[in-house]
Amino acid sequence: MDVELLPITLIGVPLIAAALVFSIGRWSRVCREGGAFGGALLTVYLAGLTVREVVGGAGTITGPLELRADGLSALIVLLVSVVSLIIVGYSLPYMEKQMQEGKTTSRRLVTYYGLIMLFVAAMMWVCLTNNMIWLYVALEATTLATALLVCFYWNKAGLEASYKYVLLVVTGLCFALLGTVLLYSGAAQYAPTRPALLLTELGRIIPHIPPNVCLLAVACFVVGFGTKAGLIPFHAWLPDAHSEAPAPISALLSALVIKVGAYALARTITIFAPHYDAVIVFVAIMASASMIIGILMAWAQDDLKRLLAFHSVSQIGYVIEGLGFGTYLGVYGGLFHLVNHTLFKGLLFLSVGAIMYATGGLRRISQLKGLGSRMPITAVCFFIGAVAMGGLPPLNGFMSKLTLFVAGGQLHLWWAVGIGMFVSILTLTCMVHAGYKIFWGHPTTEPAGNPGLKEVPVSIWIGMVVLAVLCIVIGVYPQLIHPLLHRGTESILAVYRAGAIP
Amino acid sequence: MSALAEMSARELLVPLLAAPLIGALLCIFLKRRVSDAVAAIFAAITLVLAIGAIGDVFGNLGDTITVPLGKLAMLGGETGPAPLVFELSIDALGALMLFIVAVIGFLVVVYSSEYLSPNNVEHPAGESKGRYYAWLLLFLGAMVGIAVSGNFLQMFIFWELTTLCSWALISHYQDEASLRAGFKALIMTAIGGLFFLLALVVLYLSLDTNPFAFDALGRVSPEVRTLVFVFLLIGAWAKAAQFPFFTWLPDAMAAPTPISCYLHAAAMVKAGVFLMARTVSASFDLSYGVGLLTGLMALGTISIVVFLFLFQDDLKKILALSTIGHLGYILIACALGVWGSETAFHGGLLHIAAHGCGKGLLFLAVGMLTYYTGTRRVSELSGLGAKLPLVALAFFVGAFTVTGVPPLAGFWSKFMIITGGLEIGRMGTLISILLLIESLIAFGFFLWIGQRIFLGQPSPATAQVRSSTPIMGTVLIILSILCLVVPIFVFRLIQHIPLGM
Repeated sequence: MDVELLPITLIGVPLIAAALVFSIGRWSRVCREGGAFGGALLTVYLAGLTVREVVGGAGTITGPLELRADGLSALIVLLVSVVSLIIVGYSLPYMEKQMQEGKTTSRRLVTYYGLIMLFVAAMMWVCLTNNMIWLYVALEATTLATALLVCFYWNKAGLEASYKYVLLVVTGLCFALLGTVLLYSGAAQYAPTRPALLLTELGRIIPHIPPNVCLLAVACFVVGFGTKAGLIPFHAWLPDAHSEAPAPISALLSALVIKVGAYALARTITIFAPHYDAVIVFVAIMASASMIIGILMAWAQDDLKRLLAFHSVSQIGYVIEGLGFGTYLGVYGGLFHLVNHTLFKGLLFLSVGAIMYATGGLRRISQLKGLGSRMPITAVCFFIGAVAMGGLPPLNGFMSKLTLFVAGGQLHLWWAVGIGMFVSILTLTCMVHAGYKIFWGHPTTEPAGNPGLKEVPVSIWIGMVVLAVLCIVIGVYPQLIHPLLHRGTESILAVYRAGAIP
Repeated sequence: MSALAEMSARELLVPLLAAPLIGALLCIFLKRRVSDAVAAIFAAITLVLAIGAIGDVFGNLGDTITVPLGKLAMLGGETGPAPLVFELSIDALGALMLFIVAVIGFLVVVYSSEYLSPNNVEHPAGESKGRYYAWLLLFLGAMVGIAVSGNFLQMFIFWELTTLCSWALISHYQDEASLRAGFKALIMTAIGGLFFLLALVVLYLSLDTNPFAFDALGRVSPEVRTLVFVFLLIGAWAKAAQFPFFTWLPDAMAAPTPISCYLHAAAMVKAGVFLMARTVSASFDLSYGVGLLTGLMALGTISIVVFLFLFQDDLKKILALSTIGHLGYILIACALGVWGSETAFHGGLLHIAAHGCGKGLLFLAVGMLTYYTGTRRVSELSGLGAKLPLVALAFFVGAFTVTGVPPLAGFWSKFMIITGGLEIGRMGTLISILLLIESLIAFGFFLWIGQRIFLGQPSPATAQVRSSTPIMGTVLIILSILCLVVPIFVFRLIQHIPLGM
């Protein structure tokens, strides 16, 4: 296949899968679930091709329609495709059981799988477009696709959460649009012959734009994309949406949706950071606030899904802080943590889903006790995710946090390093505390005392085990994804270097 | 064995680290007798490989054998050379630690096979020992990793792994008290770990080449050196249960007794003092102030725990508090080493081995008492000497070793520390006198405890006891012999551990 066509195929395949599911998904399970799973599988293959091309070959692929795949795109594309494949695979038995319990119908499942594939297509578009306006449009598309998934059960709480999600994120993203417009108005006169809003051109244009316009645009981007990423104080949609959605969708939201916000920030603010010291400090303050408030809120939760949602708020702070540093180590650490957070948070949400699957929907810490002896695989997966998020070596969370701490120290932002470490220990204790309350102890009452309670089937835990193994492998052997992360970091740095005044 | 003798430590280090980890993986899936056997086999393999590696160190004393494994590419920045992060190395100090870790590790695994049984009066064990052995072997692997780490960052990775294992093993019985104790230990040691991490970050930013090497402290400016030393010291305090972190250790006695023996007397808490020994050994020109800080905090810790253990009724907690005091001894030896006394520093290193064997023996003896009687309160035990003569013997050997009665190991180490203190001048003399007083109090106290438990009329709790555990008994005998002979072996090693460079 022609390399130039890879980006458009990457968007096209899940889109076609979605169309297929929507049109003929009613006929049978094979059309519905097979279509989604096959589409996801093919996407993973294409993403693998893209990565091989980008890492091993030219470094970038330029396609038609202003599509472009560089190291960063390839990284996120791979991440999105692998995690969505795992989530689709996990959904098959999970949603089947939901149907048996009468919580949904087979017709609704058409919508479910169709929307997931639509979401994957939109994600691919976000990652592969080189045009700022299209970036905004594609981001809105991911919001819409997931909003309908959040209210999948059509109950009051779900609808409310979904409404809140759409309202806040769309309003937030308007600011991103405003930032884009500001940049365009500032930049248009310097780039009359070429389209001003190519992401790759930003670095060249920015030194010409008046500083106050620039800083205003950065503030708009942080607010806009920060809302999507769940940054405090724009996070209010996140815990509701995460807790009301079906469990696989919670994993999808936390592992992927908030990451596109971070991706968009990586594409924009990191380019400003080297020119304006104020940007670094501003972003570091926002990120630190997010870390602290997120973790404090997480400590107060009894509902496991809300607990994990607030941890996402906290962890995304690390990612954005690293991206805001704008140095090699900072961006590298931010991207690394983005990857790691996707892996361990996906793992944690799927583990909670497994608990709900086995216990018939229980998800409060106070309702659960001593599940470990009955559900050993889920317990091990949960603890691996918990410890990885807590940043203990030899798991992956440690490696990215170490990089971030070093990056912060390089910029002499020791207060940010201190906050990062402090939040790290709070995260570890919060997760371990929740974990031992749920899985350890001697159960005397329901649900663990119920002899019918047993481990979830293979089709459910296989996805969790894959994620858990990835957490360990990347922690022990971080070289594994170094080429990809290195390319991703380089592709960001290359853009702003283009604008560096010699 | 002959093939093993041909192999050099260079080839042995990787299998040495891998053996317990493979064993741990296998044990997850096994039950009962099979898990006993598999765990013992893998601990034995580790022991044999460790002896091979130590033998090689003996062959070339004074050398460091290093096996580079890998780098963390991102820390090199965009273009710079990445620091070597994964490397295994063994020198005399590492060999000393490795010896204690492997020998006592093997003995504890063997001891556990009999201890965790339905006949155990205190905690009758169920079917699933697999999880216990998996964590224990993982811990053994992590401790081997600490002993053979080639730099600070690598050591930190294994250091945190031991924290994790400690948490899981303390919580093993999963009752409310042990869950709390495990969680507390995790929090406290992880907080200490953050300071260790901070020290690593500072080192990385201060040095261009080999920022994590053990001799890094010698290459940075004096202010940074003091800062990093203090950060490492705080990390060591948390791990070695020193003031102000010491409260987790007495609580951790909720763990099964073999775990208390191995993690909380012989190995894990020793990692803290091992870190300080590494630091003091590899860096020169440390300021007088950091020595003072180390020494005074350790002295303070010792004074507190001496006071606490006199009023303690729980046998294991007595041993835990005494352990905290003895870790203080080793830190004082490090402080005296900072001030320039090689004798005291070497005494401290010998004390790592001596206390490991002595306190390990005491814990295993107490484990057997609770195995038979179901209680570990001093006030409920008496007259056991006639029924369990071997345990009584082991208890007294252990007690005499840790309190320093010649010719047992503890005598030589304490003798060297105190002599070293007298070399230093007024401050050192004062410390030596205080240590002597502590030793006397501890000696008297342990004599009294031993007399209460083993002599006199049998109490109700001890009436039914009949000795029936040959494996545990054998382990006690081996450890008792080690308490006597370990200095002969360790003396040769510590001669070649430099103090500053």
